[in-house]
Amino acid sequence: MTAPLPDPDTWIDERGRRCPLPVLALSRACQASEPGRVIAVLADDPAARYDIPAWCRLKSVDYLGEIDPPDDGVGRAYLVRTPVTTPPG
Amino acid sequence: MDGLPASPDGYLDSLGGQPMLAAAHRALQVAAADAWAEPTALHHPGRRAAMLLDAARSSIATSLSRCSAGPAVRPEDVWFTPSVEAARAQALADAGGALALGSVEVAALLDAADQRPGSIVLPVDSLGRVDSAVLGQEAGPGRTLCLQVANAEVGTIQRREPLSELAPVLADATQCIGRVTLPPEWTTLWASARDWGGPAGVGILVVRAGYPRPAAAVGAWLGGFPNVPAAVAAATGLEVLLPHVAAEHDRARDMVDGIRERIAQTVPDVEILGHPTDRLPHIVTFSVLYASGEALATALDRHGFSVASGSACAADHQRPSHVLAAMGAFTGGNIRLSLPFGCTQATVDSFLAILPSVVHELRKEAGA
Repeated sequence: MTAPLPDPDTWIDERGRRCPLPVLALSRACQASEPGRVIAVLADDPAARYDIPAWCRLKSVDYLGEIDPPDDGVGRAYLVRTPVTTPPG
Repeated sequence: MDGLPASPDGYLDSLGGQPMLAAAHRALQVAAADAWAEPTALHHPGRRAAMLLDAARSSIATSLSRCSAGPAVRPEDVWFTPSVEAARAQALADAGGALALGSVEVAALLDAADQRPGSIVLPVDSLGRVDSAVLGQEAGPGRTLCLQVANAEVGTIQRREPLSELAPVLADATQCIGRVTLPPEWTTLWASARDWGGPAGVGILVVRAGYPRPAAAVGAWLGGFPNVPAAVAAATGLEVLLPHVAAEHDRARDMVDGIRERIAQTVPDVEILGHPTDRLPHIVTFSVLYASGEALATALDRHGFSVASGSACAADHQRPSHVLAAMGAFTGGNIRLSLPFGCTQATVDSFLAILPSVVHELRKEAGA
């Protein structure tokens, strides 16, 4: 096992919503967030597993990994850390 | 246009089918009147069908030799099948045993690897390339290599340099024949006649001398009652296309270069996928952030443009294309253009003119 992921500062629940909405919500949350914060996106869209890490790569946002949702519900929680320096576009 | 007639306005999905070349269509009709009997039958109509089927086989072999960098293809190394899937299944059955392949091969090959103990699936880089040096190391007794000529979804041509011309290599040539010169490093190859403007319902299987070949094959047709008219049309289509291949290659390459450049300039937040230069000339795939692939394809269709999408929302199974996923690409808002033969600059220009506003509208609707 790798090191445990940090506790998220912000949760956004995008379960039941499909592409492009979860990534769009993440983008908005990153813009609204202070630098260096950890955001968790809850999503059950099958594209989220690929598109959240890919979006992070394109936007120079740290992708931290995925965990089970805390409420034992459907989907996964994808964790990212907003950049400390330049805000994402 | 030099030679080939213009393809239908707005049509940008050769992978999803393209109009049959006129000469192939004529050959299909003429052969249908003549070659309707079982070619192995002991009567005159049967022998007439057999003669036409053999002629089609020789023609395909000659054409493949002309568009291949390897040794000449002999007629007895070519079989027609009722589909490219049937050709691939035959190649897999004849190869037997474990496979070594990259994660961007077609799903049927990955499924076969999954079912064959000892098989290895290698990752690809962000351009969709398999490391052919590593792949070559995985070859050996009891393991057959599979390496596509190019990836038909993103266009990237696979490197094959360290592979020997002798090691058994199964090669998927989908969308390659009539588009690029085939490399020498393969021993079994399959393709669809639709790739070069031939009819639907004809696959070809090519096996080099000395490598596992269809044991039960009686004639040139594998699987069911031989569709001799379709085989004749496939062979005629390729013969007629060959003189135009070089010019079509350059035209398509220039148009796709232009598409890659313009989209990067005019559409914000877009990821253009696949190798920028070492690629099939006519294919370009890109992902538009903050827009759904299905909505994009549908909106473009309303504007008269036929495109494909590898996004999850555009797929029956609601999973993104395994090729995009393997590359680590953004899979949402995905659009794949594959220019048909005879694609016009006017179609490309009008597509490029309308794309930014279509993307803008959809993003506005999604709240981006």
